Amino acid sequence: MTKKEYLDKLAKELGSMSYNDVKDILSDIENHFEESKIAGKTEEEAAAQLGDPSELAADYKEGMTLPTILKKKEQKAAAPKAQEPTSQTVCFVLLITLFVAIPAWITLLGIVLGITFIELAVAAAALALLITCWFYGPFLASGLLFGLALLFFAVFGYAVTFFAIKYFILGTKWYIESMKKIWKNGI
Amino acid sequence: MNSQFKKGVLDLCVLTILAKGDSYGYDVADTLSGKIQMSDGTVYPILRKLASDGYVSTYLKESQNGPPRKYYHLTDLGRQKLDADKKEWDEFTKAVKGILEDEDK
Repeated sequence: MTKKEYLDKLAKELGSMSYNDVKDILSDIENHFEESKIAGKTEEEAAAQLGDPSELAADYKEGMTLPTILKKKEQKAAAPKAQEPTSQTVCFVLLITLFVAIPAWITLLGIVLGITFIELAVAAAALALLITCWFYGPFLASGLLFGLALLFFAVFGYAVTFFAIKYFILGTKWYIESMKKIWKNGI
Repeated sequence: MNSQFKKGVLDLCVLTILAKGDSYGYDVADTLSGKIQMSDGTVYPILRKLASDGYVSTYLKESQNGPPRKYYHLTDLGRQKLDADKKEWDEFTKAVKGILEDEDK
């Protein structure tokens, strides 16, 4: 059998494999013929030593059984995860953090602090009014009531402040976590 | 020699040859067929499977008097497989030898 006959037969037997696989295999075997020629063998000798092309094709097919193919796919799927963050990811995280998250965070911090101080002021005013009325007032009844109302308002305000601070901290944590995730896995 | 019998240990032989140094298909085939009665072609599907399983990696290298050669290099994973398979083979052959010697008595 000549080199051409051998390769033709092998290609025909490999038929069900993908074009790229067949091309790759044929190039390996063709190179074997070239090396044999350099070693001083004729094409017939090389072909005889390579063995029956249909047996060779069967060996190749046996190697490409389902688990091998699945493993190859898994390797491909697993590969991108191990990579460093892409420049696109780095840009995304940096831009969002610098121009959206940090300004928003500072604004929210301002609002939360503002609410807290207003609450302190209201409570102080209520206490001052109550004390003043208690000691001096002919306007005792109405002043005391107004002072009590202010005090209740302050307590209600404290509840609002508490939740505002809580969700502010939770929100900050969530943002940092999600940015970490994007950094690791890409957008 | 029974061909099914041989096939199983050829992987081990190929890995052992590559553990000594990188080599190309024809060279591996030549080395093996010089020692074991087998077709030269048999090593190519083995090399291909080892490469697709990640036990060996490949690279092309120019040769002086022919086409570029595809060299095979044993990966760390391949070395681990070689160690494990060799151990298993040693235990197996020892057991078989023991059985055969018992039969002779």
